[in-house]
Amino acid sequence: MIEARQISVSLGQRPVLHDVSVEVSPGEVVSLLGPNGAGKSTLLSVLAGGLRPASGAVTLDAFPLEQFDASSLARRRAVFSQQQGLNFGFQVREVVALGRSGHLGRHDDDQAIDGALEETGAAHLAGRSFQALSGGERQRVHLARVVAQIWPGENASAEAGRFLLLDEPTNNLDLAHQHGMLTLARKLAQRGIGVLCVLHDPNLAALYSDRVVLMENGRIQAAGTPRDVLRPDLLEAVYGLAVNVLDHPNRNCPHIIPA
Amino acid sequence: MFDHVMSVLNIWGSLKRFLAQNRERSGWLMLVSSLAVLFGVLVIAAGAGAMHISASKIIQILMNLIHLGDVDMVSQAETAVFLNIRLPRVLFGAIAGAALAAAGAAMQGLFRNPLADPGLIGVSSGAALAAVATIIFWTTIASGVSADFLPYVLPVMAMVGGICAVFIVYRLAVKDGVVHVATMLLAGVALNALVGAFIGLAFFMADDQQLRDINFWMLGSLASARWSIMLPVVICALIPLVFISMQARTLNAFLLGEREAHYLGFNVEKSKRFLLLLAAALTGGIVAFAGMIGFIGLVVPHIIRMIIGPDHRWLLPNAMVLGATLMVLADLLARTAVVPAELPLGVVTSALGAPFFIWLLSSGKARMSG
Repeated sequence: MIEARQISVSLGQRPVLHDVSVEVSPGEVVSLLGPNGAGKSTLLSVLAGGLRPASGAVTLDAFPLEQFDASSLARRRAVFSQQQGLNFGFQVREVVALGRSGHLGRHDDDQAIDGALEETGAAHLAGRSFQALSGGERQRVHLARVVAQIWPGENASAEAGRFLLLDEPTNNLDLAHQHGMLTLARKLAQRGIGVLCVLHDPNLAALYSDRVVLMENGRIQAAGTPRDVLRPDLLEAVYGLAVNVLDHPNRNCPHIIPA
Repeated sequence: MFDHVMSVLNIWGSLKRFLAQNRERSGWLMLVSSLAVLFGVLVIAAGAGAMHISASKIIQILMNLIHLGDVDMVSQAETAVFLNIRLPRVLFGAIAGAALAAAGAAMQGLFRNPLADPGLIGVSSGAALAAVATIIFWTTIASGVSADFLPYVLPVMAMVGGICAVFIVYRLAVKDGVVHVATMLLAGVALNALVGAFIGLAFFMADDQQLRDINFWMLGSLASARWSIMLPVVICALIPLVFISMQARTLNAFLLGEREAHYLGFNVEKSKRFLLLLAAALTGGIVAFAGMIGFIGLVVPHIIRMIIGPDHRWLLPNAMVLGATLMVLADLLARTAVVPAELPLGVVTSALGAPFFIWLLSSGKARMSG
């Protein structure tokens, strides 16, 4: 389990997170929702170990994150960030192979790289130059890279829990690839990976997550199952937009439309 | 003439297409073939000069060293010229070229900036300032040093200057234990400008002989090559070259950005410091003994990236070999073009490097692409 307890963070003078606690267990998909500037990405960076909180603690299986060295942490959790810059002409497969950097010399590297390319629908891009890709294609290649990083090995059940932290993974993706991405998140969760996912579309969160965490102004306003959290009153309070919540016609989850 | 240029460009194009298909195969192929070229260039360069020494004689001289050759085939003068003058010179050139190219490749990767050059972090200008000051105050300094160490005074001062400059730039760029790479670039630019002003002042103060010395040093030369400088050069260059090669995977990850490199499992701050130290040692060591030699560190990594891509596991060794080859060739040109005088080496590398770089830019391939 990856767990953040009573996290507070300030960037400069501006407080960004106040006393936020959240945890992700292996095998579940947790969505982080909230308006722009709510602190979602900051919270994700703190959980990833990329940002040290001013107060509070992050633990991985009850050990503080600082006790892990960078490479052993990299074998346990992968992070998909917004704004990925890469200006050098790698081929797509080389970019995905970077995800295996922390696994030096493991025999299943090729299997992980090919599997991740396959699952993210990027296999046909493998030999292309990364710079020649469209924004959505690049996004999928970076996703393949982070999936390859925590690719479940053959004896996955014997290994310690792994975690995937995704910051707006559906940006730039077309409709089919948005759903493909989150279907993949579900599939990885079934194989025992814990997934935390910053999303903007509450309907995607409703369809694919086990739990939803709703943030506003650096605090958690609500957390629970999609049905508990995606309520008209809560959504209107947080987003300032009146919504109707319907039932999805053939999947057992809420569906949100503007009122 | 035009036809020749076009056919060279065509070969260049098909070579790139062939090599793009399999990076690993092309990395090996390129390395093996360019090592062969480097060896040939070393033999030619070692043979060329006022006294020509043929390749077969060079083999004889080397065989004589291990008492296997036919002693009568080569004269004592040829043996002496080759062993005492030519061999250290071409070896020094090869090491200097490899060091500058590797430092350039590492800096470009670390700064994620195609224009990064070892000079940017202040090593060259710090070394230049110290060297110029040493030349200006030579009479004062020389009176306090024993004659045995006089030849080493300028290199040691230059190296100390280079290290001080990097230290200043580094301190300016560190905040809360994190090295800010963009600040470092800007600090390097500022320091370079300041040092430029001091060097201008030195020009103003210098007498004619000092001006000549300063010029000679600023324009670079391998004329200081002799066996006695090889030990410090090897320590300053070969050891960092080995360590820098071991950082290839880290440099690959840095291309994604520092935060991503951390998420991928690299100790980012430690690696950054280590790479800066290595690049400073490489550049400082070479600049101290050979003066300022431009363009090798900037252009060579670009050429290699265009042919085999940005993977540092192949980029670094290939850049070292190409850097060594180009440096030995440039020095060959510098010392044979206007016999009996010697052109400044930095003039040759810049005169050849700059037009080539402009061609790279205009062919539209000089982004960081491969």
